Amino acid sequence: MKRTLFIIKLIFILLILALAIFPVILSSHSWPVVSRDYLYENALSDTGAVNTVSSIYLGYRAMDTLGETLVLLVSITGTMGILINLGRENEEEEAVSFSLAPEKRATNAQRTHLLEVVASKLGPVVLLFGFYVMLYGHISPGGGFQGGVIVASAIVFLALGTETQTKLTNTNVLGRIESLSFLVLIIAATSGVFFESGFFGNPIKSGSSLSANFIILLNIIIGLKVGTSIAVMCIAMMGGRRGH
Amino acid sequence: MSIESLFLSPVYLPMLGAALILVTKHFFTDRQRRVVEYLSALIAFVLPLIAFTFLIQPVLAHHQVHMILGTWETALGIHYHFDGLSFLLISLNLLISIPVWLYSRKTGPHQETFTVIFLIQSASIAATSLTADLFNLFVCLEVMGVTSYVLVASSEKDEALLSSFTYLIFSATAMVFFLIGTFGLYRISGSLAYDTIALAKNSLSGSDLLVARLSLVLIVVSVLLRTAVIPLSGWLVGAHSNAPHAVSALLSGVLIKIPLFALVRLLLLVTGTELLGSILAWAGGISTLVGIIMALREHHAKRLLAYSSVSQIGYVVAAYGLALASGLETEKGALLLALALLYSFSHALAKATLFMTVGRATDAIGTKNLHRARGALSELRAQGERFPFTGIAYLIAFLSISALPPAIGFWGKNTLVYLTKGHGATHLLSITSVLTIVAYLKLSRIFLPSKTTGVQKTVSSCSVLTNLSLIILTSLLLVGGIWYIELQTFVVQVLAPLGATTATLTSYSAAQDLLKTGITLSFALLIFFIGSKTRFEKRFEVRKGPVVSFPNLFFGFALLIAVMAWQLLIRGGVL
Repeated sequence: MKRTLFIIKLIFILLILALAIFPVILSSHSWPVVSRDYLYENALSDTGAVNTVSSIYLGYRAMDTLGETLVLLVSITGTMGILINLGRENEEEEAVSFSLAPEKRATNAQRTHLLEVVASKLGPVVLLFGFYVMLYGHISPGGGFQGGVIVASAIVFLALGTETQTKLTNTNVLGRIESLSFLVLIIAATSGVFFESGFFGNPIKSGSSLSANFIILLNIIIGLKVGTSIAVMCIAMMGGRRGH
Repeated sequence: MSIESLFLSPVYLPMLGAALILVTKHFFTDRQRRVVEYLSALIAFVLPLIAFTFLIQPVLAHHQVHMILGTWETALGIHYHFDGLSFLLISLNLLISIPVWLYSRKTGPHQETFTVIFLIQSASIAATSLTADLFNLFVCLEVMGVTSYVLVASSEKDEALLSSFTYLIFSATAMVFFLIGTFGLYRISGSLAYDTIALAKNSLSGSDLLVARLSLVLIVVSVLLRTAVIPLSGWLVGAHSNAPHAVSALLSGVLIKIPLFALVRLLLLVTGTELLGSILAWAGGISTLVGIIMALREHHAKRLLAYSSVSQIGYVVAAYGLALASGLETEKGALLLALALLYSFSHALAKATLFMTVGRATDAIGTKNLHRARGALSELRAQGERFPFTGIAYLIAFLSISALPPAIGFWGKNTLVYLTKGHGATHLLSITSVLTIVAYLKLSRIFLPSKTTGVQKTVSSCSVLTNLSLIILTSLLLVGGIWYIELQTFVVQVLAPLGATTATLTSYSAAQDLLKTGITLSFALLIFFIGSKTRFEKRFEVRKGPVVSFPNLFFGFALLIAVMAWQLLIRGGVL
């Protein structure tokens, strides 16, 4: 009886939701062209970014990007809070299979020399690539978020690969970079208010030979913010230092 | 300072404060961090409040600002709209957030990052109230949602983690449908700004109209989820009852109302909302009754309060729905919207006070079970509360939420019920007002003197800041009650540019309602004594805590979409 009811409910939910969204998705209405044409003609001159996507998300609609950065910040903060609690409870329990160098134990069967060698050699290369994606976001596909995630994975590689803890895998250092870049992001966003170019307006628009300067600045800040915060979370998940 | 930087200050100042706290957390000692926390709260709450006092004059003069963030001269940018509605919503948030934050200093979650998340939430609330852009509304709702999941989970109890997870999955799934709705409206209008969408929908026909209506239904239902009307309220009880007291106060007081009123901007542009409004009114009416019955069946203090929130938000949604049904350009519609806003203000004050006082009382006693918890006042005194701030604040909040004079709730509820006369859902509201008093009488028993003297000694929860926060809320409840007529005139006048005339409620007389309130109160007392003296109460109560299952939650979601879509598509009406 309970099972039948469950199945009936499930069918009802799927049916209604499908009926509600299919007409929206399968609409035959012609695609809107106003924004596309506007971007085609003006995006480069407005923002200086060759990559139109970055002119949208760091130019015209930068507030949305700030919102998404906040979502990331809050969810990582929340995750760290839960992780710290779990760590406090399970202090005596077996360490997780991937453990950091200072905590290396005999039980860590999955942490082999092969992993260490590959990860430590890959780390710097990936890091460089991450910064490339981050810095060239205004020209080619990429940008702060993507570059940041690549930087984070590079830091995870380094954390897995090196015996001794380096500055780059130290959660305290990463946390400092994270908080500073968040502060700079907020200041960059609000400074327009005091420079007569409005909230999230470009305060350094004039007087620079590099036309996409504001977008590059935002890409770097967001990249550092995303990279360090995700790296801190990954290191904490691997059972690394709980300096948070 | 330009007017833009003034009304945007509740958006960027809390974010600046949050960033400052994060930086000090990583660079300075704990002691310095605490100082910066207070400084940031000052920046985030007090400065915007001062900025908003400068805005009263422009708002009263019906001054509206429509702007695009940044200096873009294109519809591509993000549109923000400042008017009376956003002024009132942000003021509501600031007035509740300040006492809640003060309260959290002593009792609340003590994580280092609590204030950071609290401030970001405040910024997202302000942005939600200001935005006139569909995708930006999505982002703001996401930030608001993610902060509340984290705040609920900060309670560190296992149940809180589970409730937070339930809320996360349910509302994140609903936001996907919001996004599909946004996509649908963008597809047919080529814009995300409300006013351009409204322009585009005038030239629609056939299948495009269907798409527009369905998209609107998806958006409205996803936003209503945050408001927790029945059948979408399953997540609320766990989340609000397991959260830390301060967080419960903020979530129940402010967070469930902001999305509802942020939707007004979009619905304003949609002509012919009679049917949609009527559905909302019924959903609200049913929520009031079901919510209060569930509250009566509860023996857990905070769950009772959480169910009561479902019931109270029902009043707001009912008034809001009826306002849409009569059309905001009519006198009645405008008044109803103003009353819905005022009632949410009065409920926010009362519910925040209730969560704080009951939280303190139950912490002092050590149990939240309403059958065992007694003697809260003596326990609190034993913990060092010399003057019974908690008891007095509870009493005032009790009066307000039960619609008894002289608190603000008396006026709020009575004027609201008076104006909704003539609609079927009103009868549900009248029954609920009796049951509300019964439910809160039941809750008040924790303040009765205890027969056995407690021996346990817990750490003192009294502090100047906690008392200060209770004093602020209590005086707002009383001041609102005493100057209610002036307050109502102010709200109506401020909201006037939304499309209505500057109507006033002249035909209403409070003297008549005093008699009615007396009858309601005596009925409630009768029910309460019959219930508490006989076995009926025990038999009526649920033994277990609420079991929330995802199939039920999503069933409610699909049901509301089905009802709305059927009504709007088959019977036609909106757009």
